[in-house]
Amino acid sequence: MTEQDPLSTTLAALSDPVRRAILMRLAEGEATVNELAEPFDISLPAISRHLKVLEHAGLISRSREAQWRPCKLETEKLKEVSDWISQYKKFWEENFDRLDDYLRHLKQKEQNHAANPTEPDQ
Amino acid sequence: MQQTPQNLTSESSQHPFFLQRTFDAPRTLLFEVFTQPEHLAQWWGPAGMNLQVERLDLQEQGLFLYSMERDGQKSYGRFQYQDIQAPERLVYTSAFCDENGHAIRAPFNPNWPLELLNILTFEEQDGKTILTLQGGPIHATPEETQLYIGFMQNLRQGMGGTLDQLEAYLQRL
Repeated sequence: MTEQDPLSTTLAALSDPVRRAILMRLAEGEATVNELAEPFDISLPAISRHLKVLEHAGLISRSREAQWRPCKLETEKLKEVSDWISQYKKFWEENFDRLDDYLRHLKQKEQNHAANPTEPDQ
Repeated sequence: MQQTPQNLTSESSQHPFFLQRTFDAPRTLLFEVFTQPEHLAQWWGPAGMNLQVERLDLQEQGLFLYSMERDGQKSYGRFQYQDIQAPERLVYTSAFCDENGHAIRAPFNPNWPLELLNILTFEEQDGKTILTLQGGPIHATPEETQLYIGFMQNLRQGMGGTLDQLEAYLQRL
């Protein structure tokens, strides 16, 4: 097994609905493990495991000082993956937008040609 | 692992990548702009990159090899055609490659699958064409497939709407 690259680690961390819900909660502000566990019907150890995954992926950080070690959302990694995903989406959309324009251009050319059959093509 | 050719184009499986778009053109024309070099050069490729068609051999196992240039940096991509049924169906694998058309790893991520399968179908309705694009990794390791699937799930569902909300949140920071 090779060490996973950062993107794979981030995507794996984001692939779980509970972990995504935890991130959403942390977007509102810091929270302790107990506070994070409250809305879920799962054990504290299970929540802790999710937090470890998120922490390992650099998506959250946990305070070393406070006794309750509140969790905090770290946005940089999230931004990286969201940039990458929207870039990919954009790639296809942009290609298809250009194709739309190009098809319009071809149609226009054909109409001009039909209107002036003696004119040579530009 | 090698798959048999009929697996390559079987449509029984659910492909992780799915995209549909309607174009205002008959499908014969759309098929042409997808398969003829002078047309492809006009619209295909990443924005802001100068795309050159190096060669295009429209037959089964034939290659469409193109180069992209940005800031003096040249990179190559290829399609390898698997099934060509004008004007309704086109199947090819796509990959990053070197100047000789040999597939290479994606520059952005070493775990990205080497080759992706693309299945395009062209359906005509009232002079317009519905293009359906489906695909996914092919001959990939479980890790590569996992990365791709995770990525696509996040792409398709915007992480169950989470990503959009988080993005809005990031904007506000």
